[in-house]
Amino acid sequence: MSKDKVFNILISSVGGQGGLTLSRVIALSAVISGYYVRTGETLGMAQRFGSVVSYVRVGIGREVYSPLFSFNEAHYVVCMEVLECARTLKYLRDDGVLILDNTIKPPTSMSLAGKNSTLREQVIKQITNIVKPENVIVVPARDIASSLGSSRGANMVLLGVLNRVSGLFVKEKIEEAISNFFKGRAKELSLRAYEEGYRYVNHQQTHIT
Amino acid sequence: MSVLNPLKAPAGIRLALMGNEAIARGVIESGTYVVTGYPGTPSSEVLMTLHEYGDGLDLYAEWAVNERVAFEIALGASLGGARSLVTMKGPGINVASDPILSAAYSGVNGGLTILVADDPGPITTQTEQDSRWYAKLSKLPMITPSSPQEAKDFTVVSQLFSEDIMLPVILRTTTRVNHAVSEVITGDVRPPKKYREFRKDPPRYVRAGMTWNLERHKWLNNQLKIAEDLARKYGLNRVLGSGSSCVVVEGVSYNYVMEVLGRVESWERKVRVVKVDVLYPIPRNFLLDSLSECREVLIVEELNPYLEESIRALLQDQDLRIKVFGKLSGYLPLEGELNTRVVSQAISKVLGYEVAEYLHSGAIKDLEVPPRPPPLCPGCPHRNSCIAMLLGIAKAGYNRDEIPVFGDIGCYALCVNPPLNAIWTEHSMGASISMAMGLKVGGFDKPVIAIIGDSTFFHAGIQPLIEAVNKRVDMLVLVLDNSVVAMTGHQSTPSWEITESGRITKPVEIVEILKSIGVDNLAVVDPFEIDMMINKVSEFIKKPGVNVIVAKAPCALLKVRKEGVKKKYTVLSDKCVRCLACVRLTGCPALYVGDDNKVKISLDDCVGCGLCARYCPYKAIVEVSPHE
Repeated sequence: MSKDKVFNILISSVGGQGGLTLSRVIALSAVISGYYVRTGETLGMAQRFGSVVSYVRVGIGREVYSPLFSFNEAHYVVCMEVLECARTLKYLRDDGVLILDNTIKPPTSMSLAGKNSTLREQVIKQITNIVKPENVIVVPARDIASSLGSSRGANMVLLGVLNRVSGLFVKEKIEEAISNFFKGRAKELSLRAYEEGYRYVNHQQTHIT
Repeated sequence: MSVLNPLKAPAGIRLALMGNEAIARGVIESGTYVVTGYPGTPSSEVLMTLHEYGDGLDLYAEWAVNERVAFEIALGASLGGARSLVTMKGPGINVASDPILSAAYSGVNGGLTILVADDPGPITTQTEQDSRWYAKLSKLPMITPSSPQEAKDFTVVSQLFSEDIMLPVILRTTTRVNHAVSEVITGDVRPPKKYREFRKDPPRYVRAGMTWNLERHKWLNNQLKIAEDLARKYGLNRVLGSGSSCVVVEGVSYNYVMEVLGRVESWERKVRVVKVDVLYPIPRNFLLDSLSECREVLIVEELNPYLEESIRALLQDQDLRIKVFGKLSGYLPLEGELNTRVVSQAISKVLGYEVAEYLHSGAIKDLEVPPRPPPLCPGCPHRNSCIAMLLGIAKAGYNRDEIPVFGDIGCYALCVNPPLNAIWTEHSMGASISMAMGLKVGGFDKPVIAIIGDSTFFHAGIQPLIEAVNKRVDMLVLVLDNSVVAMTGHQSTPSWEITESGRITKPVEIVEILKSIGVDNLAVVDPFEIDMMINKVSEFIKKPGVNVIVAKAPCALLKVRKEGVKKKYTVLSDKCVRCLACVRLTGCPALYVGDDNKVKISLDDCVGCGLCARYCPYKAIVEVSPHE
C-alpha cells in the first residue's frame, strides 16, 4: 500500500440496499486504522428505492479535505445494483477498478415503459465493453449474502471484495469496524459476508497509482 | 471492543463522526442543557444522536412542534441561564425568524446557538436558500464550520461566544459538513448549565415599548463591536500560506480550495488562504490585515456572493485597489454546490496556476439507463390514500384533471411522480390548505383538495384550517396520519405517548383538534380499507364546507421494523397476461417486468400490502408465506 495518498471510492446503490452503511463502515475502518477520511453522502429524505451515491475518500498519511471528487477520479467504484452502476460509471478512472453486484432492481419508470429485466445482461455487457475487462469484478454479492442468511449482507460481501483488491485495511481493523458497527446476529452475518467477499477474489489489484 | 458512544467517549479519542453527530458531541462538551428543534434534512441527526446515545445524560433533548416554537423554548431556557441549542434546516429559520429578530434586542443569558443547515445543490430542499443573510437581517453573530471536527469545536465556541456577547449565535452549516463523516478528536466535557435565575427587566425583555426598543437596538449595535475580539479569543478566522495571490474561503469551500492547492507545488509560498469563520459581523480588521497586501482576491463561497459583496465594499471603503474575483464577475456559479473541479477552474483562471491538469481526466462515460425518481415505499399507506383520492374524484363524476390537489411537505409529495401524478402543488409547510382556500376565494368554482401529513398539520396546518373553517370555504382536506415524521427519518410527533428520550407525554389527538376547530364533516378511515376511503372522498368532495378525512395507518417501514413481514405476494406466471394494470395503478417499486415480460414481485421488497393483488384483473397475484 503506497503512502501519502488519497483513495477515492464511489458507492452507488438503490436506497435501502445498505450503500450508506457500507460507506460508514469504510469510514470507521479508516479511522480505526489511523487514516484520514471524509465522506459525502445523501441521507435523511425518503431515499428508499431512489438512487443513492456515497463518496468515500481515504487518506493514508495525508489529510482529506473535500468530501466530494469529480468524474474519472474514483480508484474504485462499488456498485450494489446494475443500473445505478451505469449511472455512476463516469466517476471511474480509466485504470480504476469496478466492483459490481450483478443484482438489478428495475425502477418503476422501466416497468411503466414495459422494459423487462433482460436489461441487466445488456447493461453488464455494455459496462464490460467500456471498462477494461481485467478491471471489472462482477460479484453475485446479494446471492452470496442470501446464502449466508440475509440479502442485507450484500454490502459487506462487496466490502470484502474491495478490501481484497485494494488492500486498504488490515484484517483486524476492518473486523473491528464491522464489530463496532453491527450488533448481535447482524454482526455475525456481516463478518461472514465480509469474509466470503474477501475470498471470492483471489488476487490484489495493485496497479492503481 | 464495544461500540464507542460519541457522547460518552472520554476526551482525546479519535472517532469517525458525521458532522451532525459531532455537533451532538459539541452539545455535551459545551455543557448545553436544552436542545430542541424540528426535523429537517440535513439537520435532523443532531437530536437523533442525542436520543440514540444520550441515555442517562442530564439533558432536555426533544423535538418541538415547529422551528418557531423550538427557538422560543431555547430562548426561554437561555433567559433563565441555561445553555440551549436549537436545530433546523434552512427553510426552518424562515419559520423561526420572527422571534429570532426580537431576541437580538432582548439578548440572552445562557449561551444560545441556532443551528441552521443549508443545502446547496439542492440535495433535499425546496430552495437553495442562503441563510447567511439572516445574520445580516437579525444582526446576530454567525459562525460557520468547514468539517465535522470544526462542527464540534465551533458548537462549543458558539455557546461561549454567545454568553460573552449576550446574543444568540447562529451556527450555519451546509449538507457537505452536516452529512460528511470524518475523523473527530473529542474534547473535555462540561457539566450542563441549567437555570440560574430570571430577573424581571421589562425594558430588556418587553418589545412593546418603542423607547425601549430604540435603546435595545443601540445596545445590539454596541454589542457587535466586541465580536472581532471574541473571534480572536476563540481562535476563529485564520490565514494559511503567504503570497500576494489570495483566496477567501468560508465553510465547506475551504476544503475544495485546500484540495486544489494541494496539487500546486509549494502553494504555501504563493497563495494566501483567508479562512473566514465568523460570517457576521464581517471581521473587518482581520480581512483588512489579511488582504491589504494582496494583488488579487478570489472569493470562494457557495450560493450568494455574501462575502464578496462585503469584501468589495470594505476594500472600496479603504481605497484599496485590489482586484476581486468571484460570483459577481462570473468566475464561480450562483447556483448549485461547489466542488473541486469548479474551484480548480476558478483558481487557475484567476491566479494563473495550471491546476486543472492535476485533475485526472478519463474516457469512461455513463450509460443511458431508465431514471429512478424516489417512489413511495412498498406498502406505504400514502399510496392507498392517493389512489383512493383519485378514484374518489372519478366516482364523484369529476375528471382528475379538473380537481386541483394542493400537496404539502412530506413523503406523500412523492404521489406527484408517475404513475399517480396526483399532486398539483407542494410549497412550504402547511401551505396546502391555505393555497386551496386561496384558489376558491379567487373564484374557482369546482371542488379543491388539500393533502397534508400529520406532522406537517401539527407544524403549520392548524391555523390554515381555522382560517378555512372560519371563512366558510368549501374544500376537502385529507390528513394522512402515519403518526410519525417519516421523511426525515421517523421522528416523534405530538401524538406519541413517549418521546425518543423516554419522556412520558400527554398525546395530542388530531381528531380532537379537528372537532374543536369545527370542521363541517369529519371521517377517520383506514387507507387499507380502500373502497371505504374512495366512497368517503366521493361523498365529501360534493358536500359544502370544510370536510376532513383522516387516513390513519402507520408508516410501512416502521410497521415492518416493529412487526416483521407476515405475508408476501407473488405472480402466477401462467395467469399473468402482461396487462401491467398492477404497475400502472400502484407504481409499487417491488413490482417489475421479468425476463419473460411477465410481472414479478421482488420478495426482498414486498411487505404484503396486497394492493396489486386487489387490482389484478386476472387474479394472477396471490399470497405466499414470507419465507418463500
